[in-house]
Amino acid sequence: MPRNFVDSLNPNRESQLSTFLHMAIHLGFTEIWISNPTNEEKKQATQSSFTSQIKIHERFDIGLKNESKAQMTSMLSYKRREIPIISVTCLTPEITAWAAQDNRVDILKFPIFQTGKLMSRSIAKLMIKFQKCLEIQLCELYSLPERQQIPALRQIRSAVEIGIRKKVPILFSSGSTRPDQLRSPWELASLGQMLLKNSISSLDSLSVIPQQLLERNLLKISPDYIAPGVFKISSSLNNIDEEEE
Amino acid sequence: MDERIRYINIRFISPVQLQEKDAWFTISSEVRRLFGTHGAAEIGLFLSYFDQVTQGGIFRASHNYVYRVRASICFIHSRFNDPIHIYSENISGSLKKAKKLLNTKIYIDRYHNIRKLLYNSWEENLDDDEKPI
Repeated sequence: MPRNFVDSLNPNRESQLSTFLHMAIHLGFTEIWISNPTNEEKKQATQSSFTSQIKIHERFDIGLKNESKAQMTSMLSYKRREIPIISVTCLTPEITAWAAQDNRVDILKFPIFQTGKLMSRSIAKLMIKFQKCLEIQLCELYSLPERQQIPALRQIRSAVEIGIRKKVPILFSSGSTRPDQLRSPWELASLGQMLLKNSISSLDSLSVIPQQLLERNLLKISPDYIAPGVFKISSSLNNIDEEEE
Repeated sequence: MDERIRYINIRFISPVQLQEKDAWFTISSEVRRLFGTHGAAEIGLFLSYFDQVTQGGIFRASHNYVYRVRASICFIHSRFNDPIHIYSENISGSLKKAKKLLNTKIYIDRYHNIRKLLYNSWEENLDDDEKPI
């Protein structure tokens, strides 16, 4: 059975979203996560998902503008029930420690030149305990000028090594802001293989791990969900009664 | 035991029509930059065939290091100040099958669609740069 690849995009212009989505379909992605989409982008995305065989989901990225912990917490409290994926860009060790322990956060991201410094062993332990994923946006690596690629690669490698040692789930995505920065899933997986030194786990980082995360969260934000393991089944029982009648 | 080899179909999209030597130097220089001469030798990269009309090339590489060629493709954005987009299509074990796949209608249609989308995107970016502040 062919793999279903997932990519996450940060389109910087509304006009480019349709180009982005068409490019992603042609390159072989079947699921796209769009970070912080505007209302216009949401409409375009819904139209595109109807016309083409691509699933589009919204994700909420915070921490990019160096918000305080209090600001982030207030934003999370009303966004968590609506959006399936929430990621935090950790700019300081304090934010990293908070995000690794907060149950409303799904993904942790780091600025490319501080990835190795912020992703410590203790943070990795917390991430495992509170079921968080580490995300590496590969576009940040391959779009850099040549002389900056060496330190960036070193930082990513050290973070990934800690992640592998502590068994933290690692997500790879392009995170591209322009359509020409998109790469096909197999190329991203090859770049991931360079970092993980394992072809199967790099493919899983682009397909299985993000899909599992999304499924888990879609279940949680559904109206029938009450608590872990507890679901409302009245609606389904009513349907059975109606069928019997 | 003989080394197993694979043929990788790679498509090039650029405003400039690429020749066979351009395709070879674009990929080989990036492979050498990323993995060094020793790494490039391990890969055993060789351009077996290039179709100038469909801008598709068939590169031969060692089975164990195909991922290195694909990883190198990610890092290529431009060639002599011209934007370039490169993507791999498929991998096969024989040159005959690779040639057959290179000219398959699905892949050629996809190449034309991606080229059209990228040209529009590049034009938009150019317009922005040319706009006065």
